[in-house]
Amino acid sequence: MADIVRSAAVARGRFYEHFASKEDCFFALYDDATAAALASVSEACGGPGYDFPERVRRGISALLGVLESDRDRARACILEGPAVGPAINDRFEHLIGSFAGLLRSGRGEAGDSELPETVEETVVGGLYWLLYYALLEERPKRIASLRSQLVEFSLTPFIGAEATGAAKGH
Amino acid sequence: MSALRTYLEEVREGGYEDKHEPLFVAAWEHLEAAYLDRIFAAIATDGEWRDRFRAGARETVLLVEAHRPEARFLTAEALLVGPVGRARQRALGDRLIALVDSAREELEEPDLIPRITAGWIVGVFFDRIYRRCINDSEPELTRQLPELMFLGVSAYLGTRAGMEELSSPL
Repeated sequence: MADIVRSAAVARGRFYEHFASKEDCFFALYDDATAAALASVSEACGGPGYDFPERVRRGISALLGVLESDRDRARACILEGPAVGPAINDRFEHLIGSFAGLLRSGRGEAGDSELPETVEETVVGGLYWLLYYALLEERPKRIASLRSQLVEFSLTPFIGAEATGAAKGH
Repeated sequence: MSALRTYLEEVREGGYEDKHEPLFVAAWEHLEAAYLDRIFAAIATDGEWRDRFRAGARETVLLVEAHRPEARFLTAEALLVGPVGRARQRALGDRLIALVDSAREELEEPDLIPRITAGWIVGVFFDRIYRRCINDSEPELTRQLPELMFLGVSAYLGTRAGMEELSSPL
């Protein structure tokens, strides 16, 4: 707690006027950051007239843009979130489920009706841990360099490798 | 008393502290070695990559379901430890990535599929195991295995080969 109030340059009493605890403070940051990321991605891929691959491309670009724009906040949420312990679990599930819901909006359009209902959550979960380790490496260009691969991993299960290759070159 | 039980009893009251690192490392090394022994035994066949991958994936999900505290330690509780836990997870992940990436040795054009594909597949498996470990209401991994196999196989061998995994028996 001493480190937090010192780096924020606020008195301890002032801190507790806003937050009940360190954990409460972290959750405020986590909720704000994840809601903003979800809103950015949703807006980017929600425009009219975009087909499924284009929505995915735009969504991934928006997500990486959010992560790049405030790397400290990205690290706090993606790296430190799972380190909080059981208290973060519902938020983590909600985060994965929300992004999976955006990906699921392409269902049917992509001709993937035979796939299990949970594939989108599984795909998004894999992307989360790729980003986790990219942020852990602390290489500034690492996140942006993942764009093409994240698009591919998000599309291939639904439209196949050939169509994904065509979409990536679009 | 097992190394894991000793560690868990030590951190139960006040959580992890630096003084617990030797206990964490002892428990990690014991469980990691046991897991890798089982995996290497499972994949020790002359079969193709796909058969080895299926055998390793099957062994992993069966171990997680049969040994939940140990799986929770390796996936979720290691993240609570901070850099030491992350480094251990990263090293184990790299070994699993190398096993998955060996798929490229059987492809006519191995360079068309980057190594990061294996990182994504390992991330997909890790995410499902992690979420199963932090939330008992998540689907049993044995039910998720066809979907996980679909994603892994289709990434290397194409969608048609991946779809076959959706109807393969455990």
